[in-house]
Amino acid sequence: MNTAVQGEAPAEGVIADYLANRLSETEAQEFELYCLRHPDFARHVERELALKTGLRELHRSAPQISSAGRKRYGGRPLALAASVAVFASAALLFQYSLDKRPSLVAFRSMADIPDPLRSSAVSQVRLIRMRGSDAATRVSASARGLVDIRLVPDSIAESGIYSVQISAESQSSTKPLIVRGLRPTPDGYLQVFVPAAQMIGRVWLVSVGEDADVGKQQGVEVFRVEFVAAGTAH
Amino acid sequence: MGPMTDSEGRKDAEISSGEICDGIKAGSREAEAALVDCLQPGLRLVLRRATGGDLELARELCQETLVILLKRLRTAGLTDPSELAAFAAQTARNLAIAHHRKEGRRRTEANIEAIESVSDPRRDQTEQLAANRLGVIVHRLLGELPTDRDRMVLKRYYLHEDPKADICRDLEMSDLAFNQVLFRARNRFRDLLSSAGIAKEDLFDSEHA
Repeated sequence: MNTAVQGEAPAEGVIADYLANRLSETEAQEFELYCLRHPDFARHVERELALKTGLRELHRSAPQISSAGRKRYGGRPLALAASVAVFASAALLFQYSLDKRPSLVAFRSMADIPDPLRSSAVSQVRLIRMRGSDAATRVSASARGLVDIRLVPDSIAESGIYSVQISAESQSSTKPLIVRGLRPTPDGYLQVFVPAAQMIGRVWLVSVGEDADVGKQQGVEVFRVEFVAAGTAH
Repeated sequence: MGPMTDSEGRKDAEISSGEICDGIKAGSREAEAALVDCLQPGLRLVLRRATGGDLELARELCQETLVILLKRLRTAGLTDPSELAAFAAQTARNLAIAHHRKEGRRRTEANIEAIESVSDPRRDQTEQLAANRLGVIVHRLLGELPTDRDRMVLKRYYLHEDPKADICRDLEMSDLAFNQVLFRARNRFRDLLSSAGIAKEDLFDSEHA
Protein backbone atom coordinates (compact mmCIF):
# COMPACT_ATOMS: atom_id res chain seq x y z
CA MET A 1 0.00 0.00 0.00
CA ASN A 2 2.62 2.55 -0.90
CA THR A 3 0.82 3.84 -3.93
CA ALA A 4 -1.97 5.92 -2.47
CA VAL A 5 -0.08 9.08 -1.72
CA GLN A 6 2.13 9.04 -4.77
CA GLY A 7 -0.90 9.46 -7.02
CA GLU A 8 -1.32 5.94 -8.36
CA ALA A 9 -4.76 4.57 -7.59
CA PRO A 10 -4.79 1.84 -4.95
CA ALA A 11 -5.17 -1.61 -6.42
CA GLU A 12 -8.49 -3.42 -6.50
CA GLY A 13 -7.49 -5.66 -3.64
CA VAL A 14 -6.59 -2.69 -1.49
CA ILE A 15 -10.13 -1.33 -1.75
CA ALA A 16 -11.46 -4.73 -0.71
CA ASP A 17 -8.96 -4.89 2.16
CA TYR A 18 -9.90 -1.38 3.31
CA LEU A 19 -13.60 -2.17 3.32
CA ALA A 20 -12.93 -5.43 5.14
CA ASN A 21 -10.75 -3.65 7.74
CA ARG A 22 -7.74 -5.70 6.74
CA LEU A 23 -5.32 -2.78 6.38
CA SER A 24 -3.01 -1.58 9.11
CA GLU A 25 -3.79 1.84 10.56
CA THR A 26 -0.99 3.44 8.53
CA GLU A 27 -2.18 1.78 5.33
CA ALA A 28 -5.79 2.76 6.00
CA GLN A 29 -4.78 6.37 6.58
CA GLU A 30 -2.78 6.41 3.33
CA PHE A 31 -5.78 5.01 1.54
CA GLU A 32 -8.06 7.65 3.05
CA LEU A 33 -5.64 10.41 2.11
CA TYR A 34 -5.81 9.22 -1.48
CA CYS A 35 -9.61 9.29 -1.26
CA LEU A 36 -9.55 12.86 0.04
CA ARG A 37 -7.36 13.89 -2.86
CA HIS A 38 -9.43 11.97 -5.43
CA PRO A 39 -13.13 12.47 -4.77
CA ASP A 40 -14.24 10.36 -7.73
CA PHE A 41 -12.20 7.48 -6.40
CA ALA A 42 -13.77 8.04 -2.97
CA ARG A 43 -17.22 7.86 -4.56
CA HIS A 44 -16.21 4.60 -6.21
CA VAL A 45 -15.19 3.23 -2.80
CA GLU A 46 -18.51 4.39 -1.37
CA ARG A 47 -20.38 2.55 -4.12
CA GLU A 48 -18.39 -0.57 -3.31
CA LEU A 49 -19.44 -0.16 0.31
CA ALA A 50 -23.04 0.40 -0.79
CA LEU A 51 -22.94 -2.80 -2.84
CA LYS A 52 -21.65 -4.70 0.16
CA THR A 53 -24.29 -3.15 2.37
CA GLY A 54 -27.03 -4.05 -0.10
CA LEU A 55 -25.84 -7.65 -0.30
CA ARG A 56 -25.65 -7.90 3.48
CA GLU A 57 -29.15 -6.51 3.73
CA LEU A 58 -30.44 -9.10 1.28
CA HIS A 59 -28.62 -11.83 3.14
CA ARG A 60 -30.01 -10.57 6.45
CA SER A 61 -33.53 -10.40 5.03
CA ALA A 62 -33.61 -14.03 4.02
CA PRO A 63 -31.04 -15.91 6.09
CA GLN A 64 -33.19 -19.02 6.24
CA ILE A 65 -33.02 -19.33 2.50
CA SER A 66 -29.46 -18.27 1.90
CA SER A 67 -28.10 -20.61 4.54
CA ALA A 68 -30.25 -23.53 3.51
CA GLY A 69 -29.43 -26.40 1.17
CA ARG A 70 -26.45 -26.03 -1.10
CA LYS A 71 -27.85 -28.05 -3.97
CA ARG A 72 -28.10 -25.83 -6.99
CA TYR A 73 -29.09 -25.91 -10.62
CA GLY A 74 -26.07 -26.90 -12.65
CA GLY A 75 -24.32 -28.18 -9.58
CA ARG A 76 -23.01 -24.80 -8.44
CA PRO A 77 -23.74 -23.51 -4.94
CA LEU A 78 -25.53 -20.21 -4.98
CA ALA A 79 -26.79 -19.31 -1.57
CA LEU A 80 -26.85 -15.59 -2.18
CA ALA A 81 -28.98 -15.74 -5.26
CA ALA A 82 -31.40 -17.89 -3.36
CA SER A 83 -31.64 -15.19 -0.76
CA VAL A 84 -33.39 -12.97 -3.25
CA ALA A 85 -36.23 -15.47 -3.54
CA VAL A 86 -38.25 -13.73 -0.88
CA PHE A 87 -37.95 -10.42 -2.69
CA ALA A 88 -38.63 -11.94 -6.09
CA SER A 89 -41.71 -13.84 -5.11
CA ALA A 90 -42.93 -10.94 -2.99
CA ALA A 91 -42.57 -8.61 -5.93
CA LEU A 92 -44.42 -10.92 -8.25
CA LEU A 93 -47.19 -11.62 -5.80
CA PHE A 94 -47.59 -7.98 -4.96
CA GLN A 95 -48.27 -7.06 -8.54
CA TYR A 96 -52.00 -7.49 -8.35
CA SER A 97 -52.44 -6.97 -4.66
CA LEU A 98 -55.59 -4.91 -5.18
CA ASP A 99 -57.13 -7.77 -7.10
CA LYS A 100 -58.53 -10.34 -4.71
CA ARG A 101 -58.32 -13.28 -7.11
CA PRO A 102 -55.66 -15.94 -6.48
CA SER A 103 -52.22 -15.00 -7.75
CA LEU A 104 -49.89 -16.82 -10.04
CA VAL A 105 -46.28 -17.15 -9.06
CA ALA A 106 -43.32 -17.18 -11.40
CA PHE A 107 -39.58 -16.87 -10.96
CA ARG A 108 -36.97 -15.31 -13.17
CA SER A 109 -34.26 -17.83 -12.47
CA MET A 110 -33.63 -21.09 -10.70
CA ALA A 111 -31.75 -19.14 -8.10
CA ASP A 112 -34.90 -17.20 -7.17
CA ILE A 113 -36.84 -20.34 -6.35
CA PRO A 114 -37.26 -21.24 -2.68
CA ASP A 115 -35.42 -24.35 -1.59
CA PRO A 116 -38.39 -26.68 -1.15
CA LEU A 117 -39.43 -26.12 -4.76
CA ARG A 118 -35.94 -26.06 -6.20
CA SER A 119 -35.35 -29.70 -5.47
CA SER A 120 -38.47 -30.76 -7.36
CA ALA A 121 -38.62 -32.16 -10.89
CA VAL A 122 -38.20 -29.62 -13.67
CA SER A 123 -40.00 -29.97 -17.01
CA GLN A 124 -38.80 -27.77 -19.79
CA VAL A 125 -40.78 -26.30 -22.66
CA ARG A 126 -39.42 -24.16 -25.46
CA LEU A 127 -41.90 -21.84 -27.16
CA ILE A 128 -40.93 -20.76 -30.64
CA ARG A 129 -43.33 -19.12 -33.07
CA MET A 130 -44.22 -21.49 -35.92
CA ARG A 131 -45.54 -19.59 -38.93
CA GLY A 132 -49.27 -20.09 -39.41
CA SER A 133 -49.68 -22.20 -36.29
CA ASP A 134 -51.55 -21.17 -33.20
CA ALA A 135 -52.09 -24.65 -31.82
CA ALA A 136 -51.55 -24.99 -28.12
CA THR A 137 -48.24 -26.44 -27.04
CA ARG A 138 -48.91 -29.27 -24.64
CA VAL A 139 -46.68 -29.53 -21.59
CA SER A 140 -46.66 -32.57 -19.39
CA ALA A 141 -45.37 -31.91 -15.92
CA SER A 142 -45.38 -33.41 -12.48
CA ALA A 143 -47.93 -31.61 -10.32
CA ARG A 144 -45.30 -31.20 -7.66
CA GLY A 145 -42.66 -29.98 -10.06
CA LEU A 146 -41.57 -26.87 -11.85
CA VAL A 147 -41.88 -25.88 -15.46
CA ASP A 148 -39.00 -24.08 -17.08
CA ILE A 149 -40.62 -22.03 -19.85
CA ARG A 150 -38.23 -20.78 -22.51
CA LEU A 151 -39.43 -18.42 -25.17
CA VAL A 152 -37.82 -16.98 -28.24
CA PRO A 153 -39.37 -13.59 -29.01
CA ASP A 154 -39.94 -12.87 -32.70
CA SER A 155 -39.16 -9.20 -32.42
CA ILE A 156 -36.10 -7.65 -30.88
CA ALA A 157 -36.78 -5.25 -28.04
CA GLU A 158 -34.87 -2.01 -28.46
CA SER A 159 -34.26 -1.87 -24.74
CA GLY A 160 -33.16 -5.50 -24.66
CA ILE A 161 -35.63 -6.02 -21.84
CA TYR A 162 -38.78 -8.09 -22.18
CA SER A 163 -41.82 -8.93 -20.17
CA VAL A 164 -43.82 -12.11 -20.16
CA GLN A 165 -47.48 -12.20 -19.23
CA ILE A 166 -49.18 -15.43 -18.22
CA SER A 167 -52.97 -15.47 -18.20
CA ALA A 168 -55.65 -18.12 -18.46
CA GLU A 169 -57.17 -18.46 -21.93
CA SER A 170 -60.69 -18.79 -20.64
CA GLN A 171 -62.44 -16.60 -18.08
CA SER A 172 -60.56 -17.43 -14.96
CA SER A 173 -60.55 -16.78 -11.29
CA THR A 174 -56.77 -16.56 -11.44
CA LYS A 175 -55.16 -13.20 -11.95
CA PRO A 176 -52.78 -12.78 -14.86
CA LEU A 177 -49.15 -12.32 -13.99
CA ILE A 178 -46.58 -10.11 -15.68
CA VAL A 179 -42.93 -10.92 -15.16
CA ARG A 180 -40.98 -7.82 -16.09
CA GLY A 181 -37.32 -7.06 -16.63
CA LEU A 182 -36.38 -10.26 -18.45
CA ARG A 183 -33.22 -10.38 -20.51
CA PRO A 184 -32.43 -13.14 -22.98
CA THR A 185 -30.02 -15.83 -21.86
CA PRO A 186 -26.82 -16.17 -23.89
CA ASP A 187 -28.59 -18.68 -26.14
CA GLY A 188 -31.37 -16.20 -26.90
CA TYR A 189 -34.19 -17.51 -24.73
CA LEU A 190 -36.28 -15.68 -22.19
CA GLN A 191 -36.69 -17.92 -19.19
CA VAL A 192 -39.45 -18.10 -16.59
CA PHE A 193 -40.05 -20.81 -14.01
CA VAL A 194 -43.56 -21.60 -12.83
CA PRO A 195 -44.77 -24.14 -10.29
CA ALA A 196 -46.66 -26.76 -12.33
CA ALA A 197 -49.45 -27.20 -9.80
CA GLN A 198 -50.95 -23.80 -10.54
CA MET A 199 -50.92 -24.39 -14.31
CA ILE A 200 -52.09 -27.97 -14.80
CA GLY A 201 -55.49 -28.63 -16.30
CA ARG A 202 -55.83 -25.39 -18.23
CA VAL A 203 -54.74 -23.59 -21.37
CA TRP A 204 -52.67 -20.50 -20.74
CA LEU A 205 -51.73 -17.59 -22.92
CA VAL A 206 -48.09 -16.72 -22.57
CA SER A 207 -47.43 -13.29 -24.07
CA VAL A 208 -44.03 -11.82 -24.66
CA GLY A 209 -43.06 -8.34 -25.72
CA GLU A 210 -40.85 -5.42 -24.94
CA ASP A 211 -41.04 -4.49 -21.30
CA ALA A 212 -43.28 -1.49 -21.81
CA ASP A 213 -45.63 -3.24 -24.24
CA VAL A 214 -46.83 -6.31 -22.39
CA GLY A 215 -50.14 -5.58 -20.76
CA LYS A 216 -51.01 -3.03 -23.45
CA GLN A 217 -51.57 -5.79 -25.98
CA GLN A 218 -49.39 -4.08 -28.57
CA GLY A 219 -46.29 -5.52 -30.18
CA VAL A 220 -46.89 -8.66 -28.19
CA GLU A 221 -46.62 -12.30 -29.31
CA VAL A 222 -48.89 -14.83 -27.71
CA PHE A 223 -48.26 -18.56 -27.25
CA ARG A 224 -51.00 -20.96 -26.20
CA VAL A 225 -49.77 -23.56 -23.75
CA GLU A 226 -51.75 -26.40 -22.27
CA PHE A 227 -50.43 -27.94 -19.10
CA VAL A 228 -51.34 -31.51 -18.25
CA ALA A 229 -50.31 -33.71 -15.37
CA ALA A 230 -47.53 -36.15 -16.20
CA GLY A 231 -48.96 -39.49 -17.29
CA THR A 232 -52.12 -37.99 -18.78
CA ALA A 233 -50.66 -36.51 -21.97
CA HIS A 234 -51.55 -38.25 -25.21
CA MET B 1 -12.84 26.73 -10.36
CA GLY B 2 -15.20 25.60 -13.08
CA PRO B 3 -14.29 21.92 -13.37
CA MET B 4 -14.26 21.38 -9.64
CA THR B 5 -17.90 22.33 -9.22
CA ASP B 6 -19.14 19.56 -11.44
CA SER B 7 -18.49 16.35 -9.58
CA GLU B 8 -20.03 14.16 -12.29
CA GLY B 9 -18.04 15.64 -15.13
CA ARG B 10 -14.79 16.10 -13.31
CA LYS B 11 -11.82 13.90 -14.06
CA ASP B 12 -10.46 12.10 -11.06
CA ALA B 13 -7.62 14.54 -10.74
CA GLU B 14 -6.02 15.70 -7.57
CA ILE B 15 -7.80 18.52 -5.84
CA SER B 16 -6.30 21.82 -6.77
CA SER B 17 -5.83 22.66 -3.15
CA GLY B 18 -4.10 25.96 -3.81
CA GLU B 19 -6.95 27.13 -5.97
CA ILE B 20 -9.51 26.17 -3.36
CA CYS B 21 -7.58 27.75 -0.49
CA ASP B 22 -6.94 30.96 -2.41
CA GLY B 23 -10.56 31.14 -3.56
CA ILE B 24 -11.97 30.70 -0.07
CA LYS B 25 -9.58 33.27 1.36
CA ALA B 26 -10.81 35.67 -1.33
CA GLY B 27 -14.44 35.04 -0.33
CA SER B 28 -15.42 32.85 -3.28
CA ARG B 29 -18.60 30.85 -2.64
CA GLU B 30 -17.70 28.70 -5.62
CA ALA B 31 -14.44 27.74 -3.95
CA GLU B 32 -16.30 26.84 -0.76
CA ALA B 33 -18.69 24.66 -2.73
CA ALA B 34 -15.71 23.02 -4.44
CA LEU B 35 -14.12 22.31 -1.07
CA VAL B 36 -17.25 20.54 0.13
CA ASP B 37 -17.72 18.68 -3.14
CA CYS B 38 -14.13 17.47 -3.22
CA LEU B 39 -13.61 16.56 0.40
CA GLN B 40 -16.98 15.24 1.48
CA PRO B 41 -16.76 11.74 -0.09
CA GLY B 42 -13.30 11.14 1.43
CA LEU B 43 -14.32 12.59 4.78
CA ARG B 44 -17.31 10.26 4.91
CA LEU B 45 -14.94 7.32 4.52
CA VAL B 46 -12.49 8.65 7.11
CA LEU B 47 -15.26 9.24 9.60
CA ARG B 48 -17.14 6.04 8.93
CA ARG B 49 -14.06 4.16 10.02
CA ALA B 50 -13.18 6.54 12.84
CA THR B 51 -16.66 6.21 14.33
CA GLY B 52 -16.75 2.44 13.95
CA GLY B 53 -19.48 2.62 11.32
CA ASP B 54 -21.83 4.97 13.18
CA LEU B 55 -23.21 6.66 10.07
CA GLU B 56 -25.26 9.26 11.88
CA LEU B 57 -22.29 10.36 13.96
CA ALA B 58 -20.04 10.24 10.90
CA ARG B 59 -22.46 12.57 9.10
CA GLU B 60 -22.49 15.03 12.01
CA LEU B 61 -18.72 15.03 12.31
CA CYS B 62 -18.33 15.43 8.57
CA GLN B 63 -20.37 18.63 8.71
CA GLU B 64 -18.40 19.79 11.71
CA THR B 65 -15.10 19.10 9.95
CA LEU B 66 -16.17 21.08 6.89
CA VAL B 67 -17.24 24.01 9.06
CA ILE B 68 -13.88 24.03 10.81
CA LEU B 69 -12.06 23.85 7.49
CA LEU B 70 -14.08 26.68 6.00
CA LYS B 71 -13.52 28.91 9.03
CA ARG B 72 -9.82 28.19 8.97
CA LEU B 73 -9.48 28.82 5.23
CA ARG B 74 -11.54 32.01 5.37
CA THR B 75 -9.27 33.43 8.05
CA ALA B 76 -5.78 32.08 8.59
CA GLY B 77 -5.60 29.74 5.59
CA LEU B 78 -3.02 26.95 5.39
CA THR B 79 0.72 27.42 5.33
CA ASP B 80 0.98 24.71 2.71
CA PRO B 81 -2.26 24.39 0.69
CA SER B 82 -1.08 21.07 -0.77
CA GLU B 83 -1.63 19.65 2.72
CA LEU B 84 -5.35 20.45 2.62
CA ALA B 85 -6.40 16.78 2.33
CA ALA B 86 -4.11 15.72 5.16
CA PHE B 87 -5.32 18.61 7.30
CA ALA B 88 -8.94 17.64 6.62
CA ALA B 89 -8.26 14.01 7.52
CA GLN B 90 -6.54 14.93 10.77
CA THR B 91 -9.28 17.39 11.72
CA ALA B 92 -11.91 14.71 11.13
CA ARG B 93 -10.02 12.11 13.17
CA ASN B 94 -9.45 14.58 16.00
CA LEU B 95 -13.15 15.30 16.14
CA ALA B 96 -13.94 11.58 16.26
CA ILE B 97 -11.37 11.03 19.02
CA ALA B 98 -12.76 13.98 20.98
CA HIS B 99 -16.25 12.59 20.63
CA HIS B 100 -15.17 9.15 21.88
CA ARG B 101 -13.37 10.70 24.85
CA LYS B 102 -16.46 12.68 25.74
CA GLU B 103 -18.61 9.58 25.43
CA GLY B 104 -16.08 7.59 27.45
CA ARG B 105 -16.28 10.08 30.32
CA ARG B 106 -20.07 9.83 30.27
CA ARG B 107 -19.92 6.08 30.56
CA THR B 108 -17.32 5.68 33.30
CA GLU B 109 -19.87 3.96 35.47
CA ALA B 110 -21.05 1.65 32.75
CA ASN B 111 -19.69 -1.67 31.67
CA ILE B 112 -18.56 -0.79 28.15
CA GLU B 113 -17.95 -4.39 27.11
CA ALA B 114 -21.41 -5.38 28.17
CA ILE B 115 -22.88 -2.49 26.22
CA GLU B 116 -20.92 -3.30 23.10
CA SER B 117 -21.72 -6.99 23.22
CA VAL B 118 -25.44 -6.31 22.99
CA SER B 119 -26.73 -5.57 19.55
CA ASP B 120 -28.34 -2.19 19.31
CA PRO B 121 -32.10 -2.68 19.42
CA ARG B 122 -32.62 0.88 18.21
CA ARG B 123 -30.84 0.44 14.95
CA ASP B 124 -31.23 3.83 13.45
CA GLN B 125 -34.37 3.94 11.40
CA THR B 126 -32.85 6.15 8.75
CA GLU B 127 -29.91 3.82 8.32
CA GLN B 128 -32.20 0.83 8.16
CA LEU B 129 -34.24 2.52 5.48
CA ALA B 130 -31.11 3.28 3.52
CA ALA B 131 -29.92 -0.30 3.90
CA ASN B 132 -33.31 -1.58 2.77
CA ARG B 133 -33.19 0.64 -0.24
CA LEU B 134 -29.73 -0.61 -1.14
CA GLY B 135 -30.95 -4.17 -0.64
CA VAL B 136 -33.73 -3.60 -3.14
CA ILE B 137 -31.32 -2.12 -5.67
CA VAL B 138 -28.83 -4.95 -5.20
CA HIS B 139 -31.64 -7.45 -5.53
CA ARG B 140 -32.52 -5.93 -8.86
CA LEU B 141 -28.87 -5.98 -9.87
CA LEU B 142 -28.58 -9.67 -9.02
CA GLY B 143 -31.70 -10.40 -11.02
CA GLU B 144 -30.16 -8.77 -14.06
CA LEU B 145 -26.87 -10.62 -13.93
CA PRO B 146 -26.70 -13.09 -16.81
CA THR B 147 -25.45 -16.16 -14.97
CA ASP B 148 -25.49 -17.84 -11.60
CA ARG B 149 -21.72 -17.71 -11.67
CA ASP B 150 -21.79 -13.89 -11.80
CA ARG B 151 -24.07 -13.80 -8.77
CA MET B 152 -21.74 -16.17 -6.99
CA VAL B 153 -18.77 -13.93 -7.75
CA LEU B 154 -20.53 -10.95 -6.18
CA LYS B 155 -21.61 -12.92 -3.19
CA ARG B 156 -18.17 -14.27 -2.45
CA TYR B 157 -16.31 -11.04 -3.17
CA TYR B 158 -18.57 -8.57 -1.40
CA LEU B 159 -20.46 -10.61 1.16
CA HIS B 160 -17.94 -13.23 2.22
CA GLU B 161 -14.97 -10.96 1.42
CA ASP B 162 -13.14 -13.86 -0.18
CA PRO B 163 -9.89 -13.00 -1.99
CA LYS B 164 -10.13 -12.71 -5.75
CA ALA B 165 -7.58 -15.50 -6.27
CA ASP B 166 -9.68 -17.96 -4.26
CA ILE B 167 -12.83 -17.08 -6.14
CA CYS B 168 -11.13 -17.43 -9.52
CA ARG B 169 -9.68 -20.78 -8.53
CA ASP B 170 -12.93 -22.18 -7.15
CA LEU B 171 -15.06 -20.98 -10.04
CA GLU B 172 -12.39 -21.79 -12.62
CA MET B 173 -12.33 -18.23 -13.88
CA SER B 174 -9.56 -16.19 -15.38
CA ASP B 175 -8.58 -12.82 -13.90
CA LEU B 176 -10.03 -11.18 -16.95
CA ALA B 177 -13.38 -12.93 -16.64
CA PHE B 178 -13.54 -11.99 -12.95
CA ASN B 179 -12.77 -8.36 -13.71
CA GLN B 180 -15.41 -8.31 -16.43
CA VAL B 181 -18.05 -9.60 -14.05
CA LEU B 182 -17.20 -6.91 -11.50
CA PHE B 183 -16.98 -4.22 -14.17
CA ARG B 184 -20.41 -5.02 -15.56
CA ALA B 185 -21.98 -5.34 -12.12
CA ARG B 186 -20.52 -2.06 -10.91
CA ASN B 187 -21.63 -0.17 -13.99
CA ARG B 188 -25.12 -1.53 -13.69
CA PHE B 189 -25.18 -0.79 -9.96
CA ARG B 190 -24.17 2.79 -10.66
CA ASP B 191 -26.94 3.09 -13.25
CA LEU B 192 -29.48 1.66 -10.82
CA LEU B 193 -28.36 4.06 -8.10
CA SER B 194 -28.59 6.88 -10.57
CA SER B 195 -32.08 5.95 -11.71
CA ALA B 196 -33.08 5.75 -8.04
CA GLY B 197 -31.86 9.35 -7.68
CA ILE B 198 -29.12 8.59 -5.20
CA ALA B 199 -25.99 8.77 -7.30
CA LYS B 200 -24.64 12.07 -6.07
CA GLU B 201 -25.47 12.20 -2.38
CA ASP B 202 -24.55 10.14 0.58
CA LEU B 203 -25.53 6.65 -0.54
CA PHE B 204 -26.38 5.70 3.00
CA ASP B 205 -28.70 8.59 3.75
CA SER B 206 -32.27 7.58 2.99
CA GLU B 207 -33.46 11.14 3.53
CA HIS B 208 -31.81 12.06 0.29
CA ALA B 209 -33.67 9.44 -1.69
